[in-house]
Amino acid sequence: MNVNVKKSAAELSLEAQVDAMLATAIGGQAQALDNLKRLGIPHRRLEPWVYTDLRNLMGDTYRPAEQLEAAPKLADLVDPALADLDTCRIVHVNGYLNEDLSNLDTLPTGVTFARHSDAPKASDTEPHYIANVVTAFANDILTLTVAPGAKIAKPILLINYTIADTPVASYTRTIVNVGEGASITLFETYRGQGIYQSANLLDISLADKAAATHIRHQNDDLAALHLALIRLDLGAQSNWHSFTLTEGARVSRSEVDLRFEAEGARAYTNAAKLLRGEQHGDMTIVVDHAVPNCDSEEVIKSVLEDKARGIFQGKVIVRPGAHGTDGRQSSDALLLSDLAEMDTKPELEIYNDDVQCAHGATVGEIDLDMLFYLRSRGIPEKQAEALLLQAHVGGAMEIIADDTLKNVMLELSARWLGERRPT
Amino acid sequence: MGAVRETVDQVKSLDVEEYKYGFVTDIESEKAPKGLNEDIVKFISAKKKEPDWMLEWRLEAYRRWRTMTEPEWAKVSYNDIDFDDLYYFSSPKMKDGPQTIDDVDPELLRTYEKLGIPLREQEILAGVKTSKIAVDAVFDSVSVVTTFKEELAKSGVIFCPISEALQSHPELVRKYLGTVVPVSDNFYATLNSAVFSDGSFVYIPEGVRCPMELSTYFRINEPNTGQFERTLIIAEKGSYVSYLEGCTAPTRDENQLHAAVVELIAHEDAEIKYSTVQNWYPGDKDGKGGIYNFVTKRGDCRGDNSKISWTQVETGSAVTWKYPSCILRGDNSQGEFYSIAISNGHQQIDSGTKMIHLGKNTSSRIISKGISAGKSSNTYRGKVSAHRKASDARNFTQCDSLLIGDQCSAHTIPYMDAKNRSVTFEHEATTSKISDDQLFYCQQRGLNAEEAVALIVNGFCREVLQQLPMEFAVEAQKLVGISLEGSVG
Repeated sequence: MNVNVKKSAAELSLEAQVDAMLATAIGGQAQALDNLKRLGIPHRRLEPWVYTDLRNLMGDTYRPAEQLEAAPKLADLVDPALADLDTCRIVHVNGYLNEDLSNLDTLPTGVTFARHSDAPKASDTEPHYIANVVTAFANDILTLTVAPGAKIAKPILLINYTIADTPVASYTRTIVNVGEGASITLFETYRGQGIYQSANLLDISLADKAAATHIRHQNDDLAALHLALIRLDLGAQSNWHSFTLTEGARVSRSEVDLRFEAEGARAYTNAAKLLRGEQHGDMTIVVDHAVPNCDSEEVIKSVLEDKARGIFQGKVIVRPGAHGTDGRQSSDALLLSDLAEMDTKPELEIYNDDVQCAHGATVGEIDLDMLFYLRSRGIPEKQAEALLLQAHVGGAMEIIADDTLKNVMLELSARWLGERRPT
Repeated sequence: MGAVRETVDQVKSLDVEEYKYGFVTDIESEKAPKGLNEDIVKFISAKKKEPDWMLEWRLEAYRRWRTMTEPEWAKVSYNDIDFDDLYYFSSPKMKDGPQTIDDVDPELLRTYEKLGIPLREQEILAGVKTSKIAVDAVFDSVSVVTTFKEELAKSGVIFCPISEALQSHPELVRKYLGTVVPVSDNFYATLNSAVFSDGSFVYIPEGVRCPMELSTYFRINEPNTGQFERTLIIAEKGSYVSYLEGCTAPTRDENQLHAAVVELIAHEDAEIKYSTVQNWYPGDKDGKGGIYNFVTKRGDCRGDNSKISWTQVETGSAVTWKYPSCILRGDNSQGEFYSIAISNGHQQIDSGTKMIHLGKNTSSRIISKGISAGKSSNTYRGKVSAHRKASDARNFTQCDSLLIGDQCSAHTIPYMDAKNRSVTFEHEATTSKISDDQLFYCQQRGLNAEEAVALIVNGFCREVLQQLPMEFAVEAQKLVGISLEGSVG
């Protein structure tokens, strides 16, 4: 209650990094550095971080990664499951844009691309750790702009890869503005090798009637720490469809901060977590219904093996006056071992009576009746289990309209299930 | 339909801001000086003629409390409480410990008569009142009378004020006090440990099914006085007890503090059923006055196959902060929590439960119904957790919120921590208003708007109302209607 917690090694080293930069920083970066110095690293006494005690889990903060001299080969960076996709690539290695590996020349008409070294919009003064740390340390800031009315069919693949011979930290910041009536598909992948920290900030704004499909595959090295924050502003009648598959990183925290700015918008934010070993995976989604007549839904599916720990925190806020709101959240977790753990906190915060809000959450093991049913039909136990797990995870992928992309995600989850050790 | 009709009549018979129990009893009282320091703690302890170890226990709690700060995480806001501007002990003047009902000040008896609480055993026996309930009546800081003690004693049941238990059964109190809610538990529990005055002590011996319902009726009367009740219920192996609690306070412009601690201990095969109808003064229509109800209630299913069931109807208080919980320590033990929380006007409620599964094969069930109207705020905050060794733990949680009007708010903050594969946790929650279709359907069949709302709300609460003992269920159903009065339009 009244404890003065001693600063951890990670905090001391963060402070040293901040101090070194404070003298020269200006604008948004200076503000972010100042916030970091003031607030430190979040810990479990802060309610949003109650299950993910970053101060302890982080161990140390690493020096920012440097640009690699020898560029890696593209084939090594892309997950084999994605190799055949026809996409426009934007490749970051260690947080730096690599134009040689990217194929920016294939950017479809209607999409423009800009690269800055300073934040085009001032950092928020809100005390959000991930936003602050990325704003403070990111080198490259990318802006993608989709012209009004442009319907972009070809997915834009954002590849993030970190190579760490010694422990380093990489930071990326991307800003996506989708114009009125335009549509886009974004596909983010995160991979790497070695001990590193990867922190990523994605700001997306959808203008009126715009649509975005967003897929995210987080498969960072099992020694890595992955932090991500997606901030979304949704215009009138815009549509957001998102699916995140988390299978990598020792510790990961993905946050989505979604705000409805005008009426009639819909947002579907789904996720699946496949964790094993001693992985710690946190998915936190805040949906802010600030205006009337918007729909939101989150479907979260988790499969946890060994000593893995899964976390889902969801919060739906319905502000005064936001009538006609429909908000739904569900989280279902399957625990495959005695030492796996799932922590769930689905919150509703409602200041209006004309709403329909619901959440459901379940935790349990594989339904033995279902397993028995399949086995009684001649399907071997392992295969029956895999089928049930696949169906469980697949429930969150229905949101992906494009069959090719959906199949890629199904393939990735099947691969994880195939890697299960025989028990 | 009878109940609905009655609810509507009740609503009609009241003015917008009338609180039925808001009168003040004019009675001379004896108070400790204002403020809190070690001398006050010693004063209270001396007043109760407590053994030395008890005083030490209180002083230790007091010293610890001095180092603590008020919790701020609850979704409630209220003016700072000046802990040095309160009376910590207030007792109606009377002879040294009333022995029979005839020793009690008639003014006090009239108060309880007005509140509808039977204190005269002969009246009850003569059939004036239909049901037989043993009552412990607590007025400000002291228990004024406890009924049916002799009859209960025949079955070995001890039912008396805790201050009396400290004299007659110090070994039992010493063995169990603070073992469920430790002195250091939280700010208000620690404060209570230092200055608690009266509350009930219940001991049910092995194999005894308590022959009647036990109840305590709490009344705050004096201004500027905090009430710090302490209740301790122990159910030995294979025993059963059902305990009811009711509370009211006069209408005043100031806020008054009620910080209680309730500890339940259920040994092997024992069952405790604890029901509360909380109807403290909620403040007027502008949010002025009302009770701050900061309560720590916890039950410990210590033995195998034990069961603790909490049922609460929360309609009063300006600010409520209360989480009746169960620690499911014994194998196969069960915990239940049934709650109706109704907030109207400017009331703020942050309430819920904790189910801590430690033993094997434990199960728990949570049914929470929140209704917010007016400008009130109503939060359900609950935690269900299963320990690594709590194999086959089961929980079912349902929390539904109903909003009436567009200026109120309803929040749901559930925590589910599962550390075991074999657990089955299910949680569902909904928030909505009374649908136009439902209203239309009722009105189409000839009910007016008020009747329709009362019918729907009673239906919404039905699962919880069913859990209350009969005598309380009727009262609670009326209370539901009265609490929502003025919200339908």
